[in-house]
Amino acid sequence: MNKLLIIFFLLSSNFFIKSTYAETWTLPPSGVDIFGQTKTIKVSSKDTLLDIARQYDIGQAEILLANPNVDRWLPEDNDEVILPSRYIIPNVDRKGLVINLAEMRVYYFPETQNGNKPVVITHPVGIGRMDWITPLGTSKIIEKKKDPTWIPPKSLQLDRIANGEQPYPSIVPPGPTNPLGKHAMRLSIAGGSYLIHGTIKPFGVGMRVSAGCIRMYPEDIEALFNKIPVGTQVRVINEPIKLGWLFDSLFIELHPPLEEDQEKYQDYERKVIAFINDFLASQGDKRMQDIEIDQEVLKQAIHEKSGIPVLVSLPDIENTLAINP
Amino acid sequence: MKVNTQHSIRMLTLAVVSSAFIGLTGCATTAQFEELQTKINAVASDASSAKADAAAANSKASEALNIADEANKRSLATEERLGRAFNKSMYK
Repeated sequence: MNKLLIIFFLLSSNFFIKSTYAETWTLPPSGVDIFGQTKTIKVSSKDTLLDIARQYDIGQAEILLANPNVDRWLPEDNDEVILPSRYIIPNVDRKGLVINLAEMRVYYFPETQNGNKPVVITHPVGIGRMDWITPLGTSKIIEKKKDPTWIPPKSLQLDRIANGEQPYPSIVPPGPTNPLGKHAMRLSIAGGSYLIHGTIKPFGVGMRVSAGCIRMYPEDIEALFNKIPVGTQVRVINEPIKLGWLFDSLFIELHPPLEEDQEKYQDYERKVIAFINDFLASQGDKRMQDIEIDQEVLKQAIHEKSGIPVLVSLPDIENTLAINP
Repeated sequence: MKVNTQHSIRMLTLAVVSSAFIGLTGCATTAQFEELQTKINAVASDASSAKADAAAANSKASEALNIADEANKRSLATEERLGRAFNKSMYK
């Protein structure tokens, strides 16, 4: 029975897409934490994985993790490339913007308009590089600016000088050389010094390349900019391990930890097991007792850390027998 | 008496036939042994030569493996350099 439900959901999730490469999805019903669709396409050697990632609204790290055996710069004709566009919704309030640094992705849960179905919008993001991490916590959007002017932070200027590079001008006006691109939204956190913005270097989306700001593909920030009101809550989390339900089946989505968290996640397997136990405990005794984890599948998922949700619970034989005697 | 004489003759004949047979067998074994020894020597020589060839082939295979390993390391290093350069080019 569970299997049938899963198959039905995975097939019907196609219909949640509004357009071929849409990033707006109907929010799944209660009891389902997964949305989106993983697809496989054949590519041409004229493309790089970077081009494909942008075309399908996927981040650079995401597409590399999902396709470890495809050459990033020179895929062969007819190479099969996995598009990892299925996600487990982060286990926090489904409100405003949720940015998960470990998966380098933002989720937006807009207020539901009268009569409309609730939706979730997701895009890849670039985040702060090592030692420039975006601060965790809850804040809100305090300003939206089209064609923003950029005042480079002192720390970035000093870094460039230390690396023998030319510092930026003290003020960068709007235009093709402005790293913020055409849209910027200011966060209330840390005195308003962090932004969600566009870029003139789109291939850096889905990578750790910024000075702590959140970088988005120009087309994504433009779409989001028009939807997000000032005052929208922004929650920044750092969760390389995500768990979610598809009815009675448990899925896990694993990402490599950020560089600075390597020590904390040195024993990744133990972390995952503890995370699963805590998660199940928080769901109540019944779920804790009913769920049996497929250890082989879990080990493989831990080894791969592909960022793709993987079914890790074994079928509930007793319930299946009770339904289908 | 007649029985004893016949018995003695039979024994003598048996002894002569046996010794002739043993002698014949002994001669044949020596010849075959020499031939066999020659063959063994030839085989040993072939084996020694084959061993030398195998050692040379092994050495070449090992050398090729080292070259391939080195090429692979360089390829990975180039990929790493390329990746880092790309990452850095994406910095703000």
